Amino acid sequence: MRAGGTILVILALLSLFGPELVSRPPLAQDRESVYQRPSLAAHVLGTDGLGRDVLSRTLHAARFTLLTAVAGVVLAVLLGSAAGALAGLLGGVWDRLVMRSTELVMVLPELYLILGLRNLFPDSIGPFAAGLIVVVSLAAVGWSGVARLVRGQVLSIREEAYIAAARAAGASRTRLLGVHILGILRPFLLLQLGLHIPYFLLGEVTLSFLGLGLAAPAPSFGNMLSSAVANASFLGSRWWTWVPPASLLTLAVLGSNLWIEALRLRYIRYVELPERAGFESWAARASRFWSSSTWGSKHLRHRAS
Amino acid sequence: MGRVVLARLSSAIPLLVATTLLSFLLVHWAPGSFLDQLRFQPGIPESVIDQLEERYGLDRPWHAQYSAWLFAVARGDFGLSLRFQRPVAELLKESLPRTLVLAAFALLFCILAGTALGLLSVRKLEGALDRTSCRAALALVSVHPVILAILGLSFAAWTGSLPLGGGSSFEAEALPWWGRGADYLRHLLLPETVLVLVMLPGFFLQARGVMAEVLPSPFVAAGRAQGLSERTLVLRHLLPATLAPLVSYTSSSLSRLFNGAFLVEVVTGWPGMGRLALTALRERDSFLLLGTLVVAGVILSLGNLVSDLLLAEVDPRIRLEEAST
Repeated sequence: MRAGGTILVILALLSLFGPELVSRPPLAQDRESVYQRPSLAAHVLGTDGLGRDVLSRTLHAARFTLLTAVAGVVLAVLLGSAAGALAGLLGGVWDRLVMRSTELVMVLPELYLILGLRNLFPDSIGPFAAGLIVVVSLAAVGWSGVARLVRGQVLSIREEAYIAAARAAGASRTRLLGVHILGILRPFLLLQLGLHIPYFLLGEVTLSFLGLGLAAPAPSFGNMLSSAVANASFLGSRWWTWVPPASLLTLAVLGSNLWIEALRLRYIRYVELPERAGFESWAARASRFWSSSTWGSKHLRHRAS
Repeated sequence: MGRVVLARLSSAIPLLVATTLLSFLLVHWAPGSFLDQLRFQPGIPESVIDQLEERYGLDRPWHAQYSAWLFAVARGDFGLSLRFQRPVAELLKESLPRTLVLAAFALLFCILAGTALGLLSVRKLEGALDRTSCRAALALVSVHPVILAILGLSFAAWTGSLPLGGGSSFEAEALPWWGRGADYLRHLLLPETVLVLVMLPGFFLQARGVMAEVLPSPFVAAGRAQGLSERTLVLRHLLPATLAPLVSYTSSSLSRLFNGAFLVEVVTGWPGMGRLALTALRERDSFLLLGTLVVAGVILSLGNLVSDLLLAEVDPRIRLEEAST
């Protein structure tokens, strides 16, 4: 918890306040001083091919990436849990509809699907619209996993005695869903939020790297990396154009992975399950753990005591 | 086994139809086509564009276009790439084998090396090797494939021994077949290494996790008590028990494999299908984009089909379940 959380907090502060603290604007060009080495006197992290300050661009890019990733995760988990809860609670046609659409998302490899989705929007768009498109297309792919997991949870929870009791006491469907089911699922949904963060961080960078996200003059990790790749033979000699965004991104993903790991351990203690000796991929492990049918009842026992 | 194959095949067919329909609609609904771009060019008269539109059937309603396209695809005709002015099938025939070679080698290597590393690592849980490899895997998982590819490229540029991108050298045309093969491998080495680095941590962690879970089970202790050699125990008892989860992990990571191959191709310049799809999107080349989407979808479904069958083969419980329904 500590290491990962610390990294994330530092990065969040850096991306919130960092862009305001650097004096140079990220778009200001200086054709006199292109590819300047990092120096304390002028540009701390050097300049890129158009003489723009790399430090300022990196910080602005970090802000964009973190914001879109968080927004995308929230949207995906909201959509997914709404769809999954509906499917699990209403059953019948709704269930089939939701399940078929989650399968539809999985028939194409993710990146090809995102390419197809991006194809639905015009080529050149402003930064806000670009951010929106990134968020929407990542969420359009990411919601399906959450929906399936939440549906499974709801299916097992709705068989619990206390749901029958609430129903007998005359609770409406909305109340059942909002208070009794989603309330119980809160830690599970929180963990889902965390689990998707690295995926969305990487996804945003992938999109802008491919030129499908934030467009050229505005800085993003993806397009900073892609302009470095465009001059592949200078990667070594102009390292400062790509090392800062690359390391900041890696740090963010590493931090969120460490944080998830700690979060998971904490919730395992919370529901009094023995810690597994294994060390699997994050997603596989979490999905297996949370889909175990005993979870709902153990959680309830904990609540009741 | 025959029943299982039949059941899987019959459930794969609606998925294939869904794949083609989804790809078609994604491309069809897109704003701005190649022809629209031509319209903005002053030198081309309106009548020519209308003629083109009629020739490619772009003026008909979408379902008519879809069925015409689907029947053409069934005959192996993917339409014409408007950007390259060549049949899409030809372009796919050049790029798809490149992607398949890249992905298949990486998958094979990752399965073998991941399992072997996992095995080494669970020999002493929480030991030095185990801790180091888990930390390394965690670190590697956190690095974006693009960054790994960039690191690979700069390493290649630094040593100067490997080609920086492309799929073959100009001189290679004149070489005999083994020279061309060596040239191919030399160009493959960098993208392949990067893709393996992208995929290996997942396979290692999965293999290690599964084995760590199986190790405490009674049958392992019973085998030990009966005096089985470590070799027999691992080869005959431990590995078969871990096979089913590993197969299902492999099937779930196929999509990730495609993503990884896509990015690695784009960065290192390996001329595969990912690059083709990206070009198609940028140029709004509908038939080409459609072709790449469909082929990717079909390969993914085939991969899933194969792994489902494999799963039924290695796990008798699944076989029995299928047979009883």
